[in-house]
Amino acid sequence: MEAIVQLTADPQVRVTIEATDMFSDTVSIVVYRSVDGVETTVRSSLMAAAAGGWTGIDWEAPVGPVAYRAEMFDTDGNDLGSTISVFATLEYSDSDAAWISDPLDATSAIQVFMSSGSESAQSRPVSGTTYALGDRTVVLAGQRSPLTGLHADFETLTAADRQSVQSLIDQTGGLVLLRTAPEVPLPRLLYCWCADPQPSMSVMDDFEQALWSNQANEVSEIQGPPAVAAVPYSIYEAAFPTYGDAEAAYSTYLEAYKNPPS
Amino acid sequence: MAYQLPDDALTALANSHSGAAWIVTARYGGVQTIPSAAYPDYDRIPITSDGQFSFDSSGGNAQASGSMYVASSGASLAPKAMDDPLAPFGQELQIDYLIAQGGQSWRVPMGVYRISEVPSWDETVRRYPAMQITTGWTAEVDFVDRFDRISAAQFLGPAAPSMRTVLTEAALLAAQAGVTAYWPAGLVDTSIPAGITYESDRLDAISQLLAAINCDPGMTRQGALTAIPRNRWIGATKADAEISMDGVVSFTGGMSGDVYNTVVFSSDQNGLTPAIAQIKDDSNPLSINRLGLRVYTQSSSLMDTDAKLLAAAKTTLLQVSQQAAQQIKIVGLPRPDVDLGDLVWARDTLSGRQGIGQLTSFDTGGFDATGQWTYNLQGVELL
Repeated sequence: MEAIVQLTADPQVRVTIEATDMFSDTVSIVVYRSVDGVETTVRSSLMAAAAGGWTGIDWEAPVGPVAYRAEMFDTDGNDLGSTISVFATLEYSDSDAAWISDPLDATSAIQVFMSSGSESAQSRPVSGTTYALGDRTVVLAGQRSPLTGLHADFETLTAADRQSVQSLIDQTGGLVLLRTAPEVPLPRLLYCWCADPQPSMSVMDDFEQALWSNQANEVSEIQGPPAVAAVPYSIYEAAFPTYGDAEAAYSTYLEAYKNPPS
Repeated sequence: MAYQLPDDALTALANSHSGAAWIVTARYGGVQTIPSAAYPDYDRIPITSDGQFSFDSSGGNAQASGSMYVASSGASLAPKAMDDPLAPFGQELQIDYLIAQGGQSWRVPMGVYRISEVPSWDETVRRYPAMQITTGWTAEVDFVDRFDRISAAQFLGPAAPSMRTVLTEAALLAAQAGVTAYWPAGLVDTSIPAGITYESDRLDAISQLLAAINCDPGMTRQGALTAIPRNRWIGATKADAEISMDGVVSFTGGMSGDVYNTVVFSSDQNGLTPAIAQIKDDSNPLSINRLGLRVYTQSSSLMDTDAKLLAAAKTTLLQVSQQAAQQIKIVGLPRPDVDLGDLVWARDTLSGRQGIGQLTSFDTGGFDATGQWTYNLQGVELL
């Protein structure tokens, strides 16, 4: 396993995972991402075909340190065990730097900056009911809810970013992934519903900088396949007129995945 | 009979606890469909806490039924083909109640149910430049117990018993509808008289057969036909109770005038004359002189001697002169170990009122694991 961190914003920070050191009878894998002790799956790797190797991109990589491991399966779906974990770190310049994105759309991420006063008043109430049973009082407690009514205010620095956030909220209905640095007292991968982020601008800087007043409610990880493939198949079709040409250029499928024609 | 839980679990149920949950899985034709490898997003059916789920032994067809609301992001389970996991074509749901306390948990099966209808489902989609993706879905799923399957498997024409005894015949009738039978220990079987024919309804036939041994049909937690003895509460004490609730939210007694003091039991076997049982003792407020004549008639071909007919008339009088008159409604904490027909003892510790009775219906109030349940008993208030 190898994890390659890319910090360029084209379209966003990401970690490319290459799995080559797998058992020979592996045909499919699931890659797990471990963040602060919580393990979640990497979206594009759910039972991904991996005979001979696999490479894919984690578009939801958290800011800061992260670990990956792959669970291997043979043709009958038997669990062959896990690879050793690899570690990567997405460096960040400021502790308030964060990314807001549509978790299903790799091209949608926008860098924002958490503003002071956000993340305060973290409310996670437990549902439940109190019963008076004659002379005793009993509580049946339910589950603790995720963060509700969280003030996750942030800033965008340019008018273009402001419009991107605006269209992101339009497109997703406010169901977004907010990734913050480890210093911010929030889950580093915060899937949340931002129903009505409100930007306020100032004439002083020609309306470039915007402070977003944003109330967020945490939700479970938004499931679903990624909407945008990293490299469309048509790129290969355009580059290689025949299948033989592609075969001549790449020794294995894995090589073709790793080095798409530019 | 009540599901056997260890003492730790019973203590948890009677006291403050957290972590209780409803867990619903799906199966189809003996194969588990959710969770399964085909739907990696789901380790159970994602239900909301709404809906309804109730048990009632007085109903005609099904005894337990309900509806649940299902919602999730991720792969849609909204039924579109006849063999989808939530389609109403023989697909079944396994409903469990999870009790948790002190690091332990107990998963109590609450029965197997057939999906009867999916009144509505909805999917939300998002359009990207290149493709459309389902981002969320909801569905409403109605379900009933396996009596529905017995009831729907009507006789194809006039039919007659092929076995000699009541229990073997009832088991055969259920097996012909694809439902197994489980008889609790201690049931006294009896023979079936010759010359009986069934009308079209299979469930009616089973009810009639079991009535001959003073039982009602019931459904086990595994989805097998069983028999619930009638009138076990008469003369029962706290020690006989299978379920004890010391402390309830409310304890309500009720009396209904819907009672009878005369039973006429007839049979078309061998030209027998109907047997009559009456309450004639004037110290009883229900006697025919004080209440007036109120006649209840019943007939059964299974009674082939005068003695059987008279015994049936007396038993029926015991039921119809008491069952409606004494109803106890209890609101209390969830007790997933109750079964219809169980003897339940309950006490309101504040007022000191206590009662014992046989459970005729109960309602879980939906799928909120912290919600209160309502129990209706047929029985007596203990003084």
